[in-house]
Amino acid sequence: MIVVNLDVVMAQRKMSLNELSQKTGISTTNLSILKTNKAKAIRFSTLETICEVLNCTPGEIITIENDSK
Amino acid sequence: MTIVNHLDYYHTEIKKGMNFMENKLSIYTYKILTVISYLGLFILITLPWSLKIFFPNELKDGIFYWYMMINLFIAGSLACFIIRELVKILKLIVIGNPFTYEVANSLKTISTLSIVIALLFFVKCFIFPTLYTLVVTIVFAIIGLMTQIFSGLFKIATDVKNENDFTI
Repeated sequence: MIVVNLDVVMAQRKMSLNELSQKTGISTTNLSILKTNKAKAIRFSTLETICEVLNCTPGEIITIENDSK
Repeated sequence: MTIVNHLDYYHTEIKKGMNFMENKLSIYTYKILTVISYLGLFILITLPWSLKIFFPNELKDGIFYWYMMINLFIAGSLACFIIRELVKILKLIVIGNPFTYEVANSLKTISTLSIVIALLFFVKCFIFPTLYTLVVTIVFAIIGLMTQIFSGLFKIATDVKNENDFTI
């Protein structure tokens, strides 16, 4: 299962959702969908913008976790 | 940046205009459907009398009268349910959210009801055959099949919309 760790990276960078929204130009609604792992897909352009603003790699934001079923 | 802003502005304005037109059309259709539903209910209630008025010669035999009464009453009731489903769909269009599973389900219900009406009139083709019966059978069978296809189409469209909405 792919997990978005946007909240962890944001906390490490001490950046709020509103600040990230202002810097990336992505709406808070969409960032919230990403943060809560409700997103079904992410565009390369969106990922690039977020990585540029947060100064991180895509691997830090998106990780894969084994399903514990 | 300014060009993009202008394009965005015009795009929003065009969308607003289209929404207004669509809503206006939907509101008129809604009014027409409401009138039809009341008319349908009126005809259903007055069926025992109106049948005698519209078919004075054909319905002299008591069995045919009762057969026609039951047949038309069931078909009329189903038609009223179809109108109710259409109103449901229209309401979702007016809200601006037509691509939902609700619409797909409503279309499927309309399809089932139409096919039942077609079957009722198909049976009537053998008992009390008229050209009108044959036409109604064919029309309702086609409506049933068409709405079945549209139901599937709306289901796929809803899936695609949901996926698009959750693509960031």
